[in-house]
Amino acid sequence: MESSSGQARRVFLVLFFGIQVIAIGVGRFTTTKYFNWVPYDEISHYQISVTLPGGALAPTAIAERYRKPAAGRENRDIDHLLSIIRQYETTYGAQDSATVRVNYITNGHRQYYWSWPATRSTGAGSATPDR
Amino acid sequence: MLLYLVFHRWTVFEEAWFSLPYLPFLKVLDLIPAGVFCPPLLLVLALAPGCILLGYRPRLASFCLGVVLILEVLASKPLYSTSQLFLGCLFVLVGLYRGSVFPIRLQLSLLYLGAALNKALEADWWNGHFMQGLALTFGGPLKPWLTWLADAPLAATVLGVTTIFIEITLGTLLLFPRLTRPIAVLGLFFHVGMLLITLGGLSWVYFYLCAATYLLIWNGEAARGDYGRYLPSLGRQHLSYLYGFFIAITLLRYLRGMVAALF
Repeated sequence: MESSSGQARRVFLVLFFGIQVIAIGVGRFTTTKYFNWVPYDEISHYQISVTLPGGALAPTAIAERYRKPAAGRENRDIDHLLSIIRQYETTYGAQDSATVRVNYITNGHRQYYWSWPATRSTGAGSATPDR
Repeated sequence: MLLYLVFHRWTVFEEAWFSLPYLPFLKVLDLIPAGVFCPPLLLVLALAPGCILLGYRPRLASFCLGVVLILEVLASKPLYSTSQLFLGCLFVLVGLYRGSVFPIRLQLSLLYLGAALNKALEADWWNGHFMQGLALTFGGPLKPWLTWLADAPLAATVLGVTTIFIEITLGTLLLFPRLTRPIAVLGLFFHVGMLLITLGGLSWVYFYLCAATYLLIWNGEAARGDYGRYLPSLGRQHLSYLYGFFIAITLLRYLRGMVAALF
């Protein structure tokens, strides 16, 4: 007969893998691909610029703000970077009245820019093909 | 895994130094001050590797280390890393090891199948755009070949589609213990191939982690005495070669980094 610790271990493992399977499924319906086991499936080169009422931020200040380089390569879905900026600007930086623009090229051929605050009523930021 | 953690993911220790939570996935974590959140993480990060190396309650240490790695990811969106999450899961599963390596097989299988599913649903992987973009991103001695790939949509498409099918194959067949050896060999070739294509610029992390996971599975089977049944011609000597290869690659990479820094 299985001991109680063995049963607890079994339940833990079922939950542990069950959550992962659910996360993979949920990931099909979200723009960000966190917790879906999606490494290196999209490569974007990006550049972030941030303007506060006092003036534009230097690259080091941008890196400090989002803990991401002001310009670089994102090896996962670009929405990961955008969601970090969105979360910062709606929480820690909500009072800063920052204007953010992210220019990015995904997989070498799709060129977009994303801006904050959102120009749409969704409040989610807006991504537009850069022409 | 510890080598990878200490040498390749030093940020794990830096971030735990009173700078978490920061833009967490779980908003509730924002309510916990860094002065309260970080010390337990630091304690585990400081003690667990030593305990594992010295063999003092290694499974408990491994489990705690895995939980801390996962907790760090949950506490910081900018810190999010699939490889750190995978490493955390592996440590947790090693901590729960009770004679069967099936959970570790399942973890690696989920990684491959999750990656394959996402690729399969992305048009850029079917029309060659991803591989062409990849070719333009990486340079180095293979630059001429990569430039050729960028201008060869058919070859880029074949590479992209092949990747999807290799990942599906690895993820599915990994669940069959009798196929451990050929699948591990295919997996290692696959990761080495990715390293070659990107000239080590992209896939080092997964080469390390997947090689470590294959070793975990093999060692687990060896410990259970399943060698004879599943791996008739694979002996400890072969595992030693693999470990040697693994460590040699690590040393070479650091040597290259040191030379580049000096000159």
